[in-house]
Amino acid sequence: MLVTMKVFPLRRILFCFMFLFLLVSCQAGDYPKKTVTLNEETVQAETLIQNIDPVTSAVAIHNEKELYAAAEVEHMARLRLESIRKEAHERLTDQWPEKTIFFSTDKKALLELRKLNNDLAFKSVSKKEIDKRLSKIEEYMKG
Amino acid sequence: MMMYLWAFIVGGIICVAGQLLMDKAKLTPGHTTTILVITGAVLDGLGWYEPLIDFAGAGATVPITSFGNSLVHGAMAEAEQHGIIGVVTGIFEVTSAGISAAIIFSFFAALCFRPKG
Amino acid sequence: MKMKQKPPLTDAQRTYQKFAAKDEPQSPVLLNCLKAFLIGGSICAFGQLVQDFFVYNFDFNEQTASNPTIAVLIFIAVLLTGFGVYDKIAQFAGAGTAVPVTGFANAMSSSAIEHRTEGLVQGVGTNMFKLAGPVIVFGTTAAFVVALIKTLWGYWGG
Repeated sequence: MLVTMKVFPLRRILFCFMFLFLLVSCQAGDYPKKTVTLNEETVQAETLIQNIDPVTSAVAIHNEKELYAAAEVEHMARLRLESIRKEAHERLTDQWPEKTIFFSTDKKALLELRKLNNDLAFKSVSKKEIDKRLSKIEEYMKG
Repeated sequence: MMMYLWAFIVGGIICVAGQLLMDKAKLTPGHTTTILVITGAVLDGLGWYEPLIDFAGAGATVPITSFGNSLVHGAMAEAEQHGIIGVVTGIFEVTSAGISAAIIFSFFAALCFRPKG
Repeated sequence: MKMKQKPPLTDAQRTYQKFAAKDEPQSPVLLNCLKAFLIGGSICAFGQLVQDFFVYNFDFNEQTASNPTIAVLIFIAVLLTGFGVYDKIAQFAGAGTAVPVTGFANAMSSSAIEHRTEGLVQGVGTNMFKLAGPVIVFGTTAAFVVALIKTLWGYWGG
């Protein structure tokens, strides 16, 4: 069985890795990159979060009783993600004490929220669909 | 993209720590990985491993240290729900993917491949 | 490694030492560390790639994505072990391949494959954990102790 070694030289393995790399990098593309202005309330929430220093971008979506928000932070600040999360949550709770606040720095939550944000702006999304997607996002936030 | 850079650097540093244990302390790979696993468990106990995962992503989850970390995590999660007994019942909660994947794939590999001289 | 030699040396010994010194890598520890850093780092960066792939395309968030990532890495490592490639990389990289989970998978699959000839139960079943066993045993025990202390701390401390 020593022959197999000749059939699978290192170079071929490297090639396979590169191919996989290409495959992965090509497929990761169907998420919108920018947050769109929806209404005053969401913008208010977004700026509120962005005022926290290391936050680079934020998305927020209001539902009747809930507020869903996610943010991206500078990479160096990721070491103290926990405290940032707490602070953002506090600020949002102060602003909307009657709402349940969901805040996360999770990548998936951010991506999904931004997608919903874009869809809300450019497409018509039914109420049921929004609820469904938001509860899914809530699930991601728990992590 | 910063994520990849830091995953590379942090993962690399953990591997260098392992290499130093092997070269300087003359430990076998078995001892080295064991020490790293225990280190991971202790670091998680101190609450330092989680920020590292936030920071370096796979750079912290791929090295074997994360094995110790997620063992503790599973145990703690169960302990929060079911009290002290959860420590025993939950220990493999998070790691089961890794261990079962390793067992299953290794078994099939043993069926498919012949040992090499 | 051999800093001090006993002073009286014959000519032949001296020549041999010169000869041996030439063959020895200049600074093996440093070089090994560099290799381990590069290979280990690459494996982790590749893991990050797989993880992002799961985040973007499947129902996983940042935390849950690490599980399938590890499974994928283990699968690749087992495959490479089977083809005999992993050992070649490991010879070059040292701890760079031993420390990531791939090393764990390699330890398990290589002992499983090696003892295949002794039968499925006696060979594969018994020997699979021969090399990887200590990691699980000590990892579990350490995790148990840590989690126990933390839980008790939670009860009495606060």
